[in-house]
Amino acid sequence: MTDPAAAIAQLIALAGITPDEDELQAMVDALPVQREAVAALYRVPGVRYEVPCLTWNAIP
Amino acid sequence: MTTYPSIADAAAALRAGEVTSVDLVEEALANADRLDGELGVFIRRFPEDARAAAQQADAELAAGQDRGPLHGIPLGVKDIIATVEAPATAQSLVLDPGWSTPEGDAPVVARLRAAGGIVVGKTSTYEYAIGFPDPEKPFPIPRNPWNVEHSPGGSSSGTGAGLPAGMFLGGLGTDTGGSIRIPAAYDGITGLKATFGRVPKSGCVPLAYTLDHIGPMTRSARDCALMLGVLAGHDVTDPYSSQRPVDDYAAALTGDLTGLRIGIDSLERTGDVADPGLPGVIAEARAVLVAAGAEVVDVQLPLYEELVTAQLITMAAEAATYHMPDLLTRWHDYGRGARAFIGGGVAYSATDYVQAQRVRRVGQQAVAQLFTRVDLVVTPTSSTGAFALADTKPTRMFEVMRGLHTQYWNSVGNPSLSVPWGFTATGLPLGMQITGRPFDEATVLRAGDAYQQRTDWHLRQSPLVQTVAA
Repeated sequence: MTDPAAAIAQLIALAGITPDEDELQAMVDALPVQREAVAALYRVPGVRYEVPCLTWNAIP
Repeated sequence: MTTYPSIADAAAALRAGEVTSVDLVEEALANADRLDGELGVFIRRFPEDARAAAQQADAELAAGQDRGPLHGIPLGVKDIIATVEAPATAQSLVLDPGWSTPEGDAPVVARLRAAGGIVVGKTSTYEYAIGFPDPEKPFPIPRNPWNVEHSPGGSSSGTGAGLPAGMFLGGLGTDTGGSIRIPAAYDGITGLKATFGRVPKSGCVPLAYTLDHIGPMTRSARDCALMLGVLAGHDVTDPYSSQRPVDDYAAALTGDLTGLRIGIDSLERTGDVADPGLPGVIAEARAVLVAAGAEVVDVQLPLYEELVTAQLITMAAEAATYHMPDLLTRWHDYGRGARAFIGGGVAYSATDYVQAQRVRRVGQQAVAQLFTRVDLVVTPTSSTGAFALADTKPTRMFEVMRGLHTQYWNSVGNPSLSVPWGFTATGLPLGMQITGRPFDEATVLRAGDAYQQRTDWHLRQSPLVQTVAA
C-alpha cells in the first residue's frame, strides 16, 4: 500500500485538522490494519450487489 | 450501599410505608458525599431540586397518586443528555453550553420525570461518549468501585460507577459501541441497549447517528424492565424512533426459560485477550440457564470481525462529520482521547463508509438467519475485567479496551443486555451479554431476570462500598 505516513499526511491536510506528533503517529500506525479491515469488507459473501442500510425518504 | 438494593425493592418499600422518597434521596445524596470524590461519578449534582422532587413524590403517594414503579426513585443521567437543571457538558470544553438550553429535558428524561423519577445529578462520561478522560481537562476521572486503580468503563462511566455505590438506584447511559454494556460488565451492574429506535435519542449529543442508543443502567434486569417500560416508544423529534407498540416488559419476567433455545458463543476463536477464569464462568452460567428451563446450544456469530469493522468505520465517520467544524478550530480544547479517535475518522473514505453500510445489511440478514435457530444468543460482554487506569493510552484506545464484544450488536441493532456473571481472580466483575431478536427486549429481559433469580452476582457489594458503609 501507499506509505502510511504519506497517506495520513495527505488525509490530514485535506481535512484541515492539526493533530500533535504522537496523535499523528498513532494514526499512521493504525492505517495498515484499517485498510486490511476495509478490504475484508469487500470479501463478505453476498455483499457485492447488496444495498447499503441507509434510509432515505422523499418527505422530510 | 443502599438500604434497598434495587428499584423494585425500593418501590415496594415506598408503597408499604417502610421508607419515603425523601429517605431514598437523602441516602443517595449521602452516598455521593462519601464516595463521589473518590469515584468521579458526577459532573453536577442537584441536591435541592432532588429534595423538592422527593417531597412532592411523597405528597403524591400520600394523596393516592401513584405514577408507577419509578415514583420517588433517585436516578442519575449521563451528561450528554439534556435536562432542565443545567447545560449538558458531554464532559467537554467544546460543547456549546447553549446546546441543551432549547432542548429542555430530552424526551427520555421527560418520560422519567413524568413517571415520578427524580434526577439527582448528571454523571460523568468519556468525552463526547468516546474519548478517555483527560487529566489536563477540568472534569472528573471516573474510577471503578471494585478497584479504584481501574476504569469503570465507558463511556457511561459515572452511571456505571455510581450505581454500585448507591448514589442512585437507576440511571441513563448511552451506547454506540457498548457504552452501556461495558460499564455494566466492568462495574457489576445490569445495562440494556434496546433495539435501535426503541428508545428515542433526541436531546442527546450524537456520537454516531445510526449506532447511538439511550438505555437503562440498574442493579437488576427487573429494574431495566421497569425503566424500559417508561423510556420506550416513539417520539416525533427522533426520526430514527420506532412506532412499534411497546411491550409490557415487567410482565414478561416469569423466572422460567422453558421453551427457549439459547445459543452460546464464547468468542474464544477471535483470539482476543481473555481472563483465564472465563471458561469456568461460562460453564457455570450455562448450567444456570439449563436449570431455568432453557435448551442451550453452541453457536457462532456470523461475520463477527466484519461487523465489528463496520461498526468502527460507521462510528468514526459519523463522529468526524458531526465534529468537523470544531476539530478545525478547537483541536486542543478536546481531550487527547476524544480528538485522537474522532479526528481519526478522516482516515476512512466515503467509499469505506458506504461499504460498511452494505456489510451491515448483509450482517442483519445473517443474524436474522441465526435467530431462526435460537431465541437468544449469549456471549461475554467483555472477555476481561476492567483495564487499569495506569494502562490508559489516550491516542490508542483500542489497544487498551481489549476483549470487548459489544460493537457487533450496534452494527446490526438487536437488543442486548449485560448482567454480572462472575469475577476475575483479582476481584473485578465480568458480564454476560444476552441478545435477542429486534424488538424482543421482553425475552432478553426474561432471560436476564431468570438468571438473576438463581444467582447473586448482581447483588454483590464492592469492598470499598462495604467499608465506607460500615
